[in-house]
Amino acid sequence: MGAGIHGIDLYVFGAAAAAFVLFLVVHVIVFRYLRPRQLTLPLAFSFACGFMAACAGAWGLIGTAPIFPEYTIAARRLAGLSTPAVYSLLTLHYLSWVFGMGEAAVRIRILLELDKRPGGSATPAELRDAYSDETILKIRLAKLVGAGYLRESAGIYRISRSQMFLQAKAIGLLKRVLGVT
Amino acid sequence: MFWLAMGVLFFLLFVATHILLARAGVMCVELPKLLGLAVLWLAVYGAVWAVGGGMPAGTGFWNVPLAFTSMALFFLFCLCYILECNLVPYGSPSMKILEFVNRSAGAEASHVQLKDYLTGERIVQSRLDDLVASGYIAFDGARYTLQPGGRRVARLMRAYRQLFRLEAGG
Repeated sequence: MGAGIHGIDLYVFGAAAAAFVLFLVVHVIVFRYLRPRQLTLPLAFSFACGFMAACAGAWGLIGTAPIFPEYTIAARRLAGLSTPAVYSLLTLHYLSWVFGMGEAAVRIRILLELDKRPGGSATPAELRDAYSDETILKIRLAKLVGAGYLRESAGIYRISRSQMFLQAKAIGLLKRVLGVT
Repeated sequence: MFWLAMGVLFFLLFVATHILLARAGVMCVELPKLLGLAVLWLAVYGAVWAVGGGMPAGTGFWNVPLAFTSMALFFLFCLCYILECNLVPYGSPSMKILEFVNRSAGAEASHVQLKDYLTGERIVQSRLDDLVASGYIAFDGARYTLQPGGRRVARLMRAYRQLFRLEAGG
């Protein structure tokens, strides 16, 4: 075997990409036609559909009739594991950079608010009326409660899931390492 | 396994280079520069592979030829790192809310407390300043006005939101 792109390599990436496309299709159908009221469950469902497809792709390498029998079982297992790994990362980045950006980013919302006005222009007061820190609080609290990160009772909010603190800690560490104040 | 390990090694090189450049004051967490650095390391990685550097391809665990997959994983890991870096300057409003509730007495906060806190953080104003600095909008002292780059982004995101029939986010 020489240098160049090999079939097993293309297979892994192709299977992950196909699973990602399935995720996108399911995700569009769920949001466009079922109009869910909260985000977490439909996104998790769409992810699970793609993940099962990625696992099916991996099964093609390590199952009873493997597609590349010339490779050892350990090599095929490694390639098989890479398929859901690549799929999961593709999905994570789509959710973070595209869906999350379009759905939640404050800067995008500001651009959209300006774009819908004549001449794409607004005074600070007009912008404040359309979109303020209070609006953000309202939207984010609804999302955090909907996703189960916060519990609300009689106007008092309490933490119910702490996964997001891992990310907060990672950002804190990154700030120290990069010397950002 | 060799190529997957190479992917991890190049990712660590990317992170180390970024930390060194950030500490030297050459760059911080600017998205275009971070992407440029990742592409630069990807090009180096691709060159190593193209000239036949590393382990010759075989059929075993160590030499299974997954160079393309490992390059994809390398770049996806770099994007994970860039994603975290992207949150460094301001942090997400959701994270700020959770942190505030967590450090409040009894780990609970009222709507009024949260409103006072978030207003003090000047979230919208800090993003407006950032959009002006990056040239997406302009401020003449009285009005904020969309610039061509900002209009393109807004139109793209509007089309995307229409595809999913999403309500106003932010």
